[in-house]
Amino acid sequence: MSDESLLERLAAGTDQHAASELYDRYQGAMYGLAIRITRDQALAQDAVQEAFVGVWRNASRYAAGRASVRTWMLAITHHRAIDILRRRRATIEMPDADSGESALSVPDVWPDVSRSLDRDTVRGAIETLPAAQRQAIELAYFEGLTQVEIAERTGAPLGTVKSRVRLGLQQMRSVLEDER
Amino acid sequence: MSDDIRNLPGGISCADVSELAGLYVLDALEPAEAERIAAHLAACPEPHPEMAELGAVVPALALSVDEVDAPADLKRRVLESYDRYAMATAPTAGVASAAVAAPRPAPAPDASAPVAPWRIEDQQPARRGSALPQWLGWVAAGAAVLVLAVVSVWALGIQQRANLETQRAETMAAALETLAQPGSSFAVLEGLGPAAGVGGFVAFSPQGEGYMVMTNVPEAPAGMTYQAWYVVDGQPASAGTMSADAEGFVIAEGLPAVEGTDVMAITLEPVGGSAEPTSDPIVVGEMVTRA
Repeated sequence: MSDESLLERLAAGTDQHAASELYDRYQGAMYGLAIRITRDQALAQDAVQEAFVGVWRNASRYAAGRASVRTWMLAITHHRAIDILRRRRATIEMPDADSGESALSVPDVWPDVSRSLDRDTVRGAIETLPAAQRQAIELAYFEGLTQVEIAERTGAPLGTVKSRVRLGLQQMRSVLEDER
Repeated sequence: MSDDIRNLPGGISCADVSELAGLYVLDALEPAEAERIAAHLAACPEPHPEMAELGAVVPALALSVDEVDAPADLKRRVLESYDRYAMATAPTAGVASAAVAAPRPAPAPDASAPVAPWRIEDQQPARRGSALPQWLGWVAAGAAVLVLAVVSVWALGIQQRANLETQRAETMAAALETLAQPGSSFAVLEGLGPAAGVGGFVAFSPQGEGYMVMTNVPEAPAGMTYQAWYVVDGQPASAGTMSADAEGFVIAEGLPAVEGTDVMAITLEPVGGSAEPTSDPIVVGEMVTRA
């Protein structure tokens, strides 16, 4: 059964088989991403569990034409893991009801540059980047740092961080498009 | 700032938006700046194809990571969480008789042993995996009436779905009545981490009678129990221990109101409860007083 069909079954009603099948297909990718971001097994497990909660609660909102199920589920995992990471960084005296966002929400997912990308292709594209651009992108994506935090971490001016990220993503897109 | 700037969509120029596109699609801007760009994109008559062009690269970054098999136990946790979700959202849920231990009174303060301030650190308001509607997360805390309406609708749904046995149905009805009462105070409870699927509320009448309702509550680990806490100026005081029924429902009554409670929190504690929390909260909710 296709990924899309499994999501449709979740959206149509409760279907533990569909939930179990989706877990089996994507737990490795989701947990690997969560581990890479949180660098903590317990936090990564929380992120994956929260991501699955987001998946089945939002199955009906999945837009098949926009991104693959894999992309969608990894985007949700990334969102949850970064949120956990940022929560851990902040020291909050009390919960702030005005901030934070619903675990039920899922991030906007940009359309795939390609649905046929594999790990080696993406790594190859990353490796074409100058080290400073790669670092800026990785600090943002895998560590959840903001522009200001990246500037502080790397010692680069804000404007330089902005340029590095933009140029790095442009370069990656160019390489990945050529792979299609 | 000139009038020209103020007249720009979102107060930011197209050129600046383009410059910031990479950081925007990576969610690496400060919130205020991200909001300005979102406002610009919503209002600008000019197309901004750079957003989709750069944004398309972002999902690919996840593919660069090696897959790692999750611990076998995680699948059990995830599917248990799914089962609770399925149970709570089924059009006609099965019998959900609550089995809640009567809350124990808070231990008497011991002046000789002052309790260290208990900080709820690193905890955003739960909002994740809650059984409450997603859009509740968008409701400002100050909009107490709207929050109340949202919680009431959610709770009524629970009441209608659940085939509660008579006594629990009456308790649930009383909890809803308290929630709707002018002058009542309440907190929306939402779970964190392993309790991500938990949702519910606490409501206190102006007379100080309190109720707690939660759904999707996982069974406490062996030797452990759930314990609720009033948090007043960072200091926790016990509100009693409780357990969920087989369907993950907690419907408790008899909670006395404690003046000055800012937050209600729930921790896992050794069976019998603790005089002070021994672990971080897994469910929290900020108290709001209804006008």
